[in-house]
Amino acid sequence: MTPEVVGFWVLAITLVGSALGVVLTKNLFHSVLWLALGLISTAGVFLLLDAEFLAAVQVLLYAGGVITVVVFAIVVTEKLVGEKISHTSKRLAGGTIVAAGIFGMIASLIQRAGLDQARPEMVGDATAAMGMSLLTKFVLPFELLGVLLLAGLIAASYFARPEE
Amino acid sequence: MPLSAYLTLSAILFSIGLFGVITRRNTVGILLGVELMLNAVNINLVAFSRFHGTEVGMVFSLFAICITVAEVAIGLSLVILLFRMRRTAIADQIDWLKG
Amino acid sequence: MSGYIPVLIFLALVLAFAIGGLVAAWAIRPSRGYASKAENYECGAQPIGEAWVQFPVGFYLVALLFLVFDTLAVFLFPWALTIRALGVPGLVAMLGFIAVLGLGWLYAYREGLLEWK
Repeated sequence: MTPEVVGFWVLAITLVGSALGVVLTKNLFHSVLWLALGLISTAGVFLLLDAEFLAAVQVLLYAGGVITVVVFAIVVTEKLVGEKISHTSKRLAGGTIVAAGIFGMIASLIQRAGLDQARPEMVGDATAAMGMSLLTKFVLPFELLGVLLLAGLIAASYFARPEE
Repeated sequence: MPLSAYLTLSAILFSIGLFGVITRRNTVGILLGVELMLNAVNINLVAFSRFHGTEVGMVFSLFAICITVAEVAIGLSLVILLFRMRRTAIADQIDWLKG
Repeated sequence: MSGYIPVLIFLALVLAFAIGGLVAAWAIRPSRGYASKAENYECGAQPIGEAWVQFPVGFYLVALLFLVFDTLAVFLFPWALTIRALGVPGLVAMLGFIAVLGLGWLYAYREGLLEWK
């Protein structure tokens, strides 16, 4: 058992457990907290895949930013006087069948694809390589991402503002 | 671990997220399911990128994470707007388009 | 991967300290409960109303701004690593990105999103 195998199994169990917590728990706040645990474990999976920068981004943007915004959206909308934030589920059987069917299809594809190539050795710094291709090959998508974020900020703040 | 282990993990996460999207009644709960599915996609991208020895998949995953940020911001703003107009966050009760 | 062994040892120590402290306190302490111990402020003022209140929407607007500029900060890092190799074109691309998001800051400033009402 190498450290990578142990780390993978620990992270996989945490990740699947917290994902089940997100979709099965009855309290919306608990769902968000399970999602935070799942996102941080995903950062751990990125570390196993030698993507340190993406792990940092995952913690900074997802666990730090997205979770904050979701929590704020919940406390801003839910007016709960003495009442637990319940969020119930419905169509459990149908959901299980669809999810299991999709998983079966993907798993059989993975089985048949013959993905047994060896993991290549790490060459150089992945973060610097990402910066190079981000600002040369992908410079147009990068600028468009700025425009998208600007449009998102303006639209989101326009929607959420209270009417004067 | 082989590539297929990472892909299977990501497929499990994707299916759980899909289950959440189908079964949740609260709009914020549905959004959390979508987050899980996007997260699974990011694991897939990074795993393929690492096993092919190129950084393009990681750049793609970085873009995906940032677009998710914009998506969450707008989605939750819409939830707040709907809540203000309809006093509900249950997706089934938002049926204005039904004639 | 072996570079993370110290991090893992640190993580294990942190978890052992936290869990060990709680378990030891639970094992040693006497447990005598009475009603006023369960109050929010044991020897303070009585709280009025519920803790579950609706927060003003200003919290959400500030969180939105934080999210956008968090994203900006994320992109500065790979650029800073390659700033010498990329030179002026990289600088121009990054300045364009910052300028576009600066328009967002300008919008927030003009619309008064940054003012706490």
